[in-house]
Amino acid sequence: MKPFKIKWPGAILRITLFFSLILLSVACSSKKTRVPSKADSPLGLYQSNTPQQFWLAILADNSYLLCSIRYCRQGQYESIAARYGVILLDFFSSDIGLKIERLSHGQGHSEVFYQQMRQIRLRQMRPNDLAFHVSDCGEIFCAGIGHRAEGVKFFKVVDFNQHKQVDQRTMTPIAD
Amino acid sequence: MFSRLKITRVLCRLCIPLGVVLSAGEVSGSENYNTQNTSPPNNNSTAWQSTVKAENKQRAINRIASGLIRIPAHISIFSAELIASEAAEKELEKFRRGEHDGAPIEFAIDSPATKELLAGRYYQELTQHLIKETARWYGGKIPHSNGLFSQANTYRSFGGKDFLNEIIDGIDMADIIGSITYYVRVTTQDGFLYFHAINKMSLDSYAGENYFEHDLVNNPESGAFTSTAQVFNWRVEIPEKYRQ
Repeated sequence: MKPFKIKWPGAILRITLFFSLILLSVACSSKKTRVPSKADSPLGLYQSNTPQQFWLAILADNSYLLCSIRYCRQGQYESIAARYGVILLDFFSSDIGLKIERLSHGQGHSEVFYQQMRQIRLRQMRPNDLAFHVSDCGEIFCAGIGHRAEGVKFFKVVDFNQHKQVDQRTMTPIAD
Repeated sequence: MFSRLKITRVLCRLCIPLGVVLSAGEVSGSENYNTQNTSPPNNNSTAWQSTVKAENKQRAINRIASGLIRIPAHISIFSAELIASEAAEKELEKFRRGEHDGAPIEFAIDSPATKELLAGRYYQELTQHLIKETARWYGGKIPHSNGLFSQANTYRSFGGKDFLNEIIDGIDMADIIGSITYYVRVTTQDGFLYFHAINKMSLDSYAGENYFEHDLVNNPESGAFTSTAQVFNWRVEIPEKYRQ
């Protein structure tokens, strides 16, 4: 009977390639749950989940306007037929737009990265305009940029229809 | 398939980073877990002590997880480079070695890398999904010009089945990018839809942390496996049924 011999260089290469395939398949998979929009009438005052405390307002009449109190101007928004989105006009030209872009990429990037990203963005069509989706984040209405955990999200804190503060956990107006 | 010289060179190069990996794993992860509460609050020092203890424990777990994941990362990424396309090999090597300036790389419309990406079935399906969602955003018809749409959440994840479909013809951009990390921005101009997508290649992504959501692996701020970002641009004609 012929003795069993392992050809080590070939075996190492095959084992390595086998594990490569398995690990790369995990590496290329990233679970990002798709949350359907529940926001039929997401009117209210929104606040960012970051320490920067950006306050944003959403105004009504079948269109949305999401902007900072400081930069909000009448007519600076686009009318959209579908009732689940926001497009801001001239948003990125303001300071808040740049800050939010920085936040939306999360921590751990160099200044070179942010500057390069801004250059790339400015070369796109409609570089000053930003589209948001109003959705829910853990059953709380929010408007989000990006979908990574560290992405910027704006949570609804005041319901404009009732002019009362909203409890973020239960989404019920807080009594005066 | 490979010359003997290339295989020998590969095995030699493989041994060097392994040593680096084992030592680097010991220090990785400490940056992100610096204790934020350096002084105890006046009213509750017991609670503060237990918080610090828990943070230290978490930091140790993260350090071990980050160190362990670097070893298979070095081996598998290096092996993948051997059978990867030119563009994919470049991105993998840049990530593995961490020799880059932190700036994103942008792939233009019709660049070879973008073509490779879009040749993948997953990305063809993603494009169709985005066209449909853009039409829905605009209430059925997509504007001929000046339209804007941003993907709210990712399309279904690039899973094992997609990987197996793509791997048949070797490792290319579609294999190494997987799911696009950030939202895809869609604009319209002169009857065309323009897509702009940003992907982040990171150690936690490699470890499947986004998938398993354990949040144990920390990305290094410099050196091997520093995150890289790829920006892809592509365009397609607005389909007849969605034209205004």
